[in-house]
Amino acid sequence: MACFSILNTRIQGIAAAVPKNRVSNFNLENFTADELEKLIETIGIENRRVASKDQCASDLCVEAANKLILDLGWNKQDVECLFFVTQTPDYHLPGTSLQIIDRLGLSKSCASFDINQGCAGYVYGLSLISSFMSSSGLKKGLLLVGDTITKLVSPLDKSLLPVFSDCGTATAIVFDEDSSKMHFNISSEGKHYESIIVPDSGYRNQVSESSFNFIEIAPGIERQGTHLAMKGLEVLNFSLKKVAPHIDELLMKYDIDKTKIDYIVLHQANKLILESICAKLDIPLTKAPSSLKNFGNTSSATIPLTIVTNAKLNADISNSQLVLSGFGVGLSLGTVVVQFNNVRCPDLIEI
Amino acid sequence: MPENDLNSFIELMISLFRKSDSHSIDEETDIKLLDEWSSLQTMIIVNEIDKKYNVLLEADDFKNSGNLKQIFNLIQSKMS
Repeated sequence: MACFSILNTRIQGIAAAVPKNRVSNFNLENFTADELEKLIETIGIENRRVASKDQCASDLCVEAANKLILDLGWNKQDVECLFFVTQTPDYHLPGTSLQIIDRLGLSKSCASFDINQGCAGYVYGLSLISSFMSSSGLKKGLLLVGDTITKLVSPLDKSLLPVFSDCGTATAIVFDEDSSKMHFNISSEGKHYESIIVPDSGYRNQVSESSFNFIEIAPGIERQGTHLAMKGLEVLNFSLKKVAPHIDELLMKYDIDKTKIDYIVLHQANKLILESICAKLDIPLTKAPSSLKNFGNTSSATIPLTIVTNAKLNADISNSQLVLSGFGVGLSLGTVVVQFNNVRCPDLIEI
Repeated sequence: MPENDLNSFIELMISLFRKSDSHSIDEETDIKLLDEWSSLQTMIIVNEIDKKYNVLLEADDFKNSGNLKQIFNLIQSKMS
């Protein structure tokens, strides 16, 4: 596992945007009343946000970035780098981050990068932009993280349809020599790449006519080759087995007292996984804010979305020591220990 | 409840199914054949077994086990 620290950068603000379109899991078709009750109780998701046909992850991220820039009083011409983390880009080619620079009205000399990452993407992205700014001395940067993952889910998939939701976020990073170090642990298990996959989505299995045939995987689960496929039990076992030791390893490496952690913000996979990981870490659920109930699993965006939606309820979150941990597609793991210092979180945007 | 007690394992399984299914559950039951068997139910069962026995069962473990006694024996073998 790669554990490392990054100096001289801090998070100044986080904003999030979700689609207006709210879908209730209580209205799901093809579930009996008993099934629905058990499902919602187990995954903890009552409502989800689903992007319109024309709404991309970049659109949500741009809205979040604009609001954040305004809230922080930044001059757009001062933003020197932008990282965009998503698995639902506007196009496979060209990269989306370059368009975002233009759409936000940032300087043409702003360096931009596209990162293909999902559930651990926020931490991966934070490590990249922080190290880039720390080593270059660039003063202001934006980390945009988001997905419209619902576009990949089969409408005939009872296992995934109730889980996924859409969101775009923006995080403002500044160079600050007085900032606390961020401590990271990044790792992956690429041999399990098929655990979460869109099989016919690239050049290994190119899209063909047969990609659009619905295949019955199990009762109530039919997918096309272009849909998101998940081996639920493999992902569950990975989460239960790997996440807590991954976090513990980082805390031990940097001699961080677990009881001094104010909040742990985990990737919002589902309620069962969150509660089990907290139990393994011996961290009370009161320290683990969630956004599952009303926003579901928003893929790469769950961690910043959870911070934004809990910032009012837990006002001290803006000045606290946090563990942020993402895990999933790849399979990948990313954890960071970060000290928040007057981090601004403008109200959630609905578009 | 002791970890090596088959009865306590069966009680745990009964507690995870609703009444319509749980009445008929014993050590000979193949839970894959119960009405409530689903990917969600598998997730719940695996999580509860992990909590109690610190053993993570995989998809093939369920496929290859015909009844609850076999699953219990598998858990015991993975514990040792």
